[in-house]
Amino acid sequence: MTFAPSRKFLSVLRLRLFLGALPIAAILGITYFYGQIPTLVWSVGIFVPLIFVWTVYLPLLCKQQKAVLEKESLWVYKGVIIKRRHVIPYCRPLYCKICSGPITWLFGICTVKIRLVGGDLCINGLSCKDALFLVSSLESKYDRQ
Amino acid sequence: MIGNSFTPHPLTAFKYLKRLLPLLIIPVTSSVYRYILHGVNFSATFFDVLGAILSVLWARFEYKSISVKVKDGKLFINSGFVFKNQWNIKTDRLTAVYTQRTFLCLLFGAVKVSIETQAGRGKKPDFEFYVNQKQARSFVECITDFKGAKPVKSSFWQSVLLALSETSAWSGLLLFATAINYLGRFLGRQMGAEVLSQLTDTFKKVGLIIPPITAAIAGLILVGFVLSFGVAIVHHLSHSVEQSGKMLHIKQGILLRSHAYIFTHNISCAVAVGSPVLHFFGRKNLRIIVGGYGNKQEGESVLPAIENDIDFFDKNGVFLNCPKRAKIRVVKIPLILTGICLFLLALFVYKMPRLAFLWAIIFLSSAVICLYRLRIKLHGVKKGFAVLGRKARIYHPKRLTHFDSNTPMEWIDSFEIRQTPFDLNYKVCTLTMKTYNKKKSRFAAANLDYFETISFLKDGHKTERF
Repeated sequence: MTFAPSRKFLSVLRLRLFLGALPIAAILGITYFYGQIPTLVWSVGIFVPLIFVWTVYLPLLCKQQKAVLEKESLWVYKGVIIKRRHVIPYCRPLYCKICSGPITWLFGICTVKIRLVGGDLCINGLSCKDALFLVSSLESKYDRQ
Repeated sequence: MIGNSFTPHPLTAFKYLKRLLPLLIIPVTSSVYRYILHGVNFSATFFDVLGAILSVLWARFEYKSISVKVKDGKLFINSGFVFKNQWNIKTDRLTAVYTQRTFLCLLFGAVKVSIETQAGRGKKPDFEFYVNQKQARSFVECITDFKGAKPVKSSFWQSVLLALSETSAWSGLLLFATAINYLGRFLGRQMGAEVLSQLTDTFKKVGLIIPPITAAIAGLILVGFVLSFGVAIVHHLSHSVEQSGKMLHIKQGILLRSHAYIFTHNISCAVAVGSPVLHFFGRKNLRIIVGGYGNKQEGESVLPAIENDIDFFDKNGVFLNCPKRAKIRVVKIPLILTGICLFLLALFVYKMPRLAFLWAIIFLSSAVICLYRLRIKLHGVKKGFAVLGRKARIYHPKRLTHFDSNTPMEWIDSFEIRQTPFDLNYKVCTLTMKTYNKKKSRFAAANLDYFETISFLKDGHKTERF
């Protein structure tokens, strides 16, 4: 069974990017207004990476991330440039935590944090229904083992 | 309490305000006090009060959003007003549950409950909240299924020795300095300097042999020691332990009582800890180490001030299910050190007889210490215990995460396969294994064949060699 991020996750990531870039853009805009930096630097330095991240990186990030319930363990796929696969045997998670902040809560998505002794593992952007189902299936698999 | 759900005590709101107290409440009280007395600085007072009201409101909403429920052997916790969190913990995965009555709890009739799992980090427990006494009792019953057993009570002197071994003049001094500092800020005076000058004047009048300032500093250290001892004795007096099935219940404290319910199947190590005071009386404290112990760095003192005998593990039988022979570790350092010392001594006696006397004292004393340690170690090895330095440790063999460089498969927590763009080209990957041991938690193997690694992990790790 595969759990992929919700479609709204991309919108959340884009909103976060926008909110994060807003103060930097404001500072650069003020300097541009007072003629401190030329137009080319402004457009290349800010807009090109932003457009690249907006159109290429974030959709890929959403597409690459997924969680798969295998026979013996949970497989979590992550990463765009450096690909990571986390393999967690079903008997290992100590507990699961479902978290949602104000933005993700508005979009109806949440993050599942799997607490392990070695560290946490986050599965981002799942819809609330999927998150609950993932947690309950992990529990049932743990019981069976 | 409705069924198995528990309503937090309003004191839980204090948890969210605790960090803001020195920054908010004391300046507000001080500015209101000054405004009433002198009628100045109205705007600052207004903003201070507004900030205090807003933070109190925020803490109230946070407290109202907490709900705790126990159902079918699972613990469900909901928390967060803006950032919502939902915990789902199986009760058999818990390592310990603590209930504690702090001074504030005593005033408001509440009990602080802390929940611990092996994943706990630093000094923070996994989750903590306040409930009233009745609910705390029923919560512990629901979670631990603890039935009363015959307690092993420590004597008054054992508790005093435990308190003495836990006493630190430095922490007492820190407490004293903080109290003096806040009192000074409240009254608008330099209280620290005043106390020191008062003490110096008093010692000048007494007319001691040592300089008055030295005597004043010594006096302050003594005050710190007494304060720390007072706190420790309140915390440790009336210490008792009881064991029922899989649970170990440690009860201590007179006014501010604390209970620790520890799941014995999660205990990884027992340690006999000595201190200069305990060593003087020929005694040691027996402590246990549980994974993710949030409140204390190194476990709870299970049996305080027991006799300085290596057989106490057998005598007191803390572990019901512990096998007799645990993992043996022979530390070779004392042997090597003793050898080097004796060799150097012989060399000095032969070459420089005048200096030999001085060096002989140093070498012989170190050799005696080493041999003494070696004696303990050999004794420990004979009995099947691992002994390291001043602390005698017994390890549960099933809780050992690695022997030298070999890690048992069941102690690998999770695997991570990582592929950089270059690795993709050569169909190789890096496999990282995380273990339960937090100090040595990662083992990595690079340039493994990608398909072999995947098949190894998908086969349920049944392959013997990899």
